[in-house]
Amino acid sequence: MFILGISCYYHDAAACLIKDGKIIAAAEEERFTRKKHDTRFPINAINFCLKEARITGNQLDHVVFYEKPLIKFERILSQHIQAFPFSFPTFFKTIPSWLNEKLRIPRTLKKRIGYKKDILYLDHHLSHAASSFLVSPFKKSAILTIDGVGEWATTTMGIAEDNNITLKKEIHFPHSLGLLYSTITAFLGFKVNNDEYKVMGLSPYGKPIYYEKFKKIITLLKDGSYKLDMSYFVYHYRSKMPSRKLSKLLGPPRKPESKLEQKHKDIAASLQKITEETIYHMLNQLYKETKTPYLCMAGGVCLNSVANGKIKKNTPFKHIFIQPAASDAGTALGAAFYVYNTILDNKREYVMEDAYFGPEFSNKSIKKFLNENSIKHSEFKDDQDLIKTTASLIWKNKVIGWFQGKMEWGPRALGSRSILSNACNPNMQEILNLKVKHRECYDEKTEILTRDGWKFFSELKKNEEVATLNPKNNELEYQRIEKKVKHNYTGNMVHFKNKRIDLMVTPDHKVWAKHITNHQKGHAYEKKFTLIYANDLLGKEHVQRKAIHKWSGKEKEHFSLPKIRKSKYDPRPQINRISMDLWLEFLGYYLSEGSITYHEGHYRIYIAQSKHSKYYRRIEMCLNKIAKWNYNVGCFRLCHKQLFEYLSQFGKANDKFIPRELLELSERQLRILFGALMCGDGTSRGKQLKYTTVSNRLAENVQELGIKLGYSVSTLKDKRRNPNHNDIYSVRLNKGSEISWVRKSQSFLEKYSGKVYCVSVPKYHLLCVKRNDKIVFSGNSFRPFAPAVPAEDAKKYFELDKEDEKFMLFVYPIKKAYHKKIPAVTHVDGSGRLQTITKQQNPLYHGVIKAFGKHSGIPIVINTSFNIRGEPIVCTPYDAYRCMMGTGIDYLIIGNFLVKRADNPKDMWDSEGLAKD
Amino acid sequence: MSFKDFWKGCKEGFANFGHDIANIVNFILLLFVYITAIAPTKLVAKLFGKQFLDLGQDNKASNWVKNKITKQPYESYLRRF
Repeated sequence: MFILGISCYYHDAAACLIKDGKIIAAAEEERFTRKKHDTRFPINAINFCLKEARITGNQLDHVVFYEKPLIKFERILSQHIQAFPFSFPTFFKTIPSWLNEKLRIPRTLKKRIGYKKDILYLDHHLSHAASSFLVSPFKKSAILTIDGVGEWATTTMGIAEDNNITLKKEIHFPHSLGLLYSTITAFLGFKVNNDEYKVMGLSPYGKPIYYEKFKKIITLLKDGSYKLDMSYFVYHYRSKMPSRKLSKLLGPPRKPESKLEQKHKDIAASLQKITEETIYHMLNQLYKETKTPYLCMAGGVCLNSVANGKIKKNTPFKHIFIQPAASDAGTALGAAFYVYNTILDNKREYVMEDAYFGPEFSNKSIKKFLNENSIKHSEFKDDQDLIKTTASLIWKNKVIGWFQGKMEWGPRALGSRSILSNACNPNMQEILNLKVKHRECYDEKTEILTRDGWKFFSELKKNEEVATLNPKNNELEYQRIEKKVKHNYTGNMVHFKNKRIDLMVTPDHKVWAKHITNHQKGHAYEKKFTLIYANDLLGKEHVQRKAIHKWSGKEKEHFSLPKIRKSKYDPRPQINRISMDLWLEFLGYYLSEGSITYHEGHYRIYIAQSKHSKYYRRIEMCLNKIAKWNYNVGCFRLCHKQLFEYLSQFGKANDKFIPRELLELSERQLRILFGALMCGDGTSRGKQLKYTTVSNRLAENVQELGIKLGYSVSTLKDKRRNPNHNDIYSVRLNKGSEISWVRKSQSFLEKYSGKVYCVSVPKYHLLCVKRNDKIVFSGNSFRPFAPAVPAEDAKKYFELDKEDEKFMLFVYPIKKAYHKKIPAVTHVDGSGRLQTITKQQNPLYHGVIKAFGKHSGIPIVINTSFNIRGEPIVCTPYDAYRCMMGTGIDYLIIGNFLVKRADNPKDMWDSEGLAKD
Repeated sequence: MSFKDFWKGCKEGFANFGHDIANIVNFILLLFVYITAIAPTKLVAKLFGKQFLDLGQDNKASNWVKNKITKQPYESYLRRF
């Protein structure tokens, strides 16, 4: 008997096909259409289900829809009548879709899949309840469903036993815990029905100081119910959610992409606290009524893993089951099982042990795809080879795209379409965020220091080496870039601007800074520099690093002056090798004060310097060792064709530069060059130096020289009024202060629309960048990822109160001893949203984690969803390959094949431009 | 520009035009329905003090709505309400 469950038209359209009480296939429509939270009729998901079962639409025995459309329509009309005349805009927006498709489900099914029999309709929350209980391991259980809204109900509670589910009471729209959460999500500037998890993630960073204010919004009643004060909301008649009164209570709402202040984190923390309290309040009442320690939960609110993780502590329930697709997508599954087990009264035999119900691709079809697209790959000998190689790559800090078996059901990647990496590496969060998740970037005007000098991010070549800061000893080191990130960005940027700093970054960018805590009492700064979100530094006094302590260049003994063709009558010997120290000194003098002329066979080199200058003797001594010279009209004059030929490359004053190879020399030798340069065009006042030149290139070289010598550097450009005169560049070098104090008023938000850039490097992630010639060291952002651990090892590392946590729906504390050992998955409050895995559920995935444990001593890997930002999790080999090539994933383990990103041409597959906010 | 491109452009143009017309017609019809159906219903409801949404203005001790949803005969699931 085939039963198809469908959910659609609100959010997360999905289909689930069961055969004789067992799931044949289930998937969300978004995975096929590549449109996140796709609400449309799930024709692709249905076709996939039918294909898996090898049947056609008319062979289905039953089709069940997840809710009663007419009751929902009644509620929609009631809202419009109640809010008349303010409801017309929403009436105009919503009614056509109801008349065109939402009330015409039989016609759609007949037309699209050829199903002509009767369609069954269940209550929305009954479908939720069934989605959890009927696939749970429990015989009898209490049930709580909480979501935004179904037909009328927003929250229901009841009890279920064997095949029967009884929902005894419900709370009706507009009182909705889910909509309260969504309203505050909107209030905090995030996207409703998409970003609720961000609010949850934000909550540990705040303090629940708005809790008392939230108590005015939601009232917990003695009998376990709750009600909202609807004067704080307008969602029942407008497309917006919070009312003006809410803004009066909590302050002005945060604009999307604007500064995320501590206040917003406090609001998120308060919301999380009141949400948890409300859930536990209802659960305690439910326990009183049902007296069973077993609990099944469903509905979008039940994806709140932080609240879920504390249920056992705060209620008498001891055994909890939540299905991985707890939101509306899961109702397709619930509806199908309800028909089979309850309406048709078949015995319950199925327990959901894993979530692998989506499309699967055989090795043969994967190979065909790889060959057809000329993708270089290698094949594993067997599963053991695959496991060993993958674990070894993860241990080597490679980012792995893991594409194996059937795609997961629900919003979490659970080991079929996952990105895996090393949880023990403290830099892994940052690497992943930068490589894969396309976060945090610099604006178009920012330049980065490379081996070839300063370059705009857009000019960076593949494998270019860029300057980075080693935070342990503040040494400047060059590293080869692993990945260049470029994407379109429209929104606010954080701009730090003062005399010495000009940095413009996305709000989620991490800046290498220290907060100023109490500068009145001598404890001016925090002890160490840390990476702080640009948003968190907005309007706050802080310092940013501008200088290094150490540069280890290469010492060179000699400089070889290129030989020239010499006239046989010229008796003077050519200079072959010259001491590098001497050459640097000479070149410094020349670049600052020198020039060349040619007149009637005379190759002349001039170095201007007054006889009364304090540097006269120094230059004289240097020139004595180079070549013969004479002094005339305030200039040293040398006649030397070989020197002339070499120096001619430096052109006139506005073309001068320092050859690149000299800028790679040791700190000692760079100091000689710098000293000689300063003798000419430099001035000093205390620890502050100024070098003036009309050559932009030379100014940039001096900036680099200054940075390598430990100066903090900024440059001012003096534009001349007369277009015939060259602009003057004043490079200001400061040895006294390696940091720059950014005042409250010196950071602000600025609207931006254009490309933003960043690069990833193997370690440190602190780049030397400049904007408008003001140099600073700045980093990148990261967010913690979720850990995956074999079920048998979970209790060793987590304070887990049950045997396993299969679906990543609960957050548990990580044992203190391991906080620093698995930093990449440890959240700021010491918790982690773990997934446990057994050999039976997914032998390959389990094997890889175990094998990784042999390398690291800790069998825990990072598991994050395999997707490009803004897109759903990958579904097909094409999606997976495209995602790998568009992000910084190093290897793709796809079926029995290994694809290395570096082996394949990237341009044709580059999906960076596809990354969305 | 090839004929194919020209034809494609024409088709897109007509589709957009059709969309705009549909929007205008929808607006007129829905405004008519809103005024002739929603408005009188609201007025009558107001006269009789009927509330379509429970906005929680009364001080109820409970906000639960008792509504025993349990197994029904097969036919009841065929209804869309």
